[in-house]
Amino acid sequence: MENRLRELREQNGFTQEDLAARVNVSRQTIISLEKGKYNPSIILAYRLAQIFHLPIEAVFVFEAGEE
Amino acid sequence: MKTKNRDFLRYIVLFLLFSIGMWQNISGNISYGSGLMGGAISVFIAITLKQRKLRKLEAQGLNTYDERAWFIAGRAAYFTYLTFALGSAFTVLLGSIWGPHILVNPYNFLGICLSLLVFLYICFYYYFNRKL
Repeated sequence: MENRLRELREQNGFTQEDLAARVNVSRQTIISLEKGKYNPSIILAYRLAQIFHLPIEAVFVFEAGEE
Repeated sequence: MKTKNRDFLRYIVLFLLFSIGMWQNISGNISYGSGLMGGAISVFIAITLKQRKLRKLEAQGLNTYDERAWFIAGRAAYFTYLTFALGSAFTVLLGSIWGPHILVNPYNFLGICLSLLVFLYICFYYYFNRKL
């Protein structure tokens, strides 16, 4: 699943570690998410979207056929 | 179970293993006793170092046992089971036809199986940790 995490994080001036601490995950998880290697749970996706004050679909781009 | 209780339980188990090792050493079973004592000491050092690192990360607000870690652990466990089951089936199949008939100590055999399972799990965990 594609996402705008890196772009949004940089826009908001967060480091990967800052963001990880805000959503209570490891920095490695943020790295994996940004690279699109790992798909987050709905709870983590919701928390991340909340940080950027955006709806989930504005952060994570789900395309049909990905599941 | 809370992390503190789990850590305490781990140290109790290690202490018991170390005591069994010491008892075996005194009883004359030196190779087994020394192995157990050495293993218990090594695990104690590894756990203590790991806990120190985890506490440092937790103090920074980072969660080292987050959902990704659980996801990787689940995948590693599944692939360990799959590899072990298929490997065993293959060995039994071929060994029953062409393999030599040998007698083994069941405790040694179980120990080898357990070591193999742990080894496979560690390999798969590191593989998925790098891949994901």
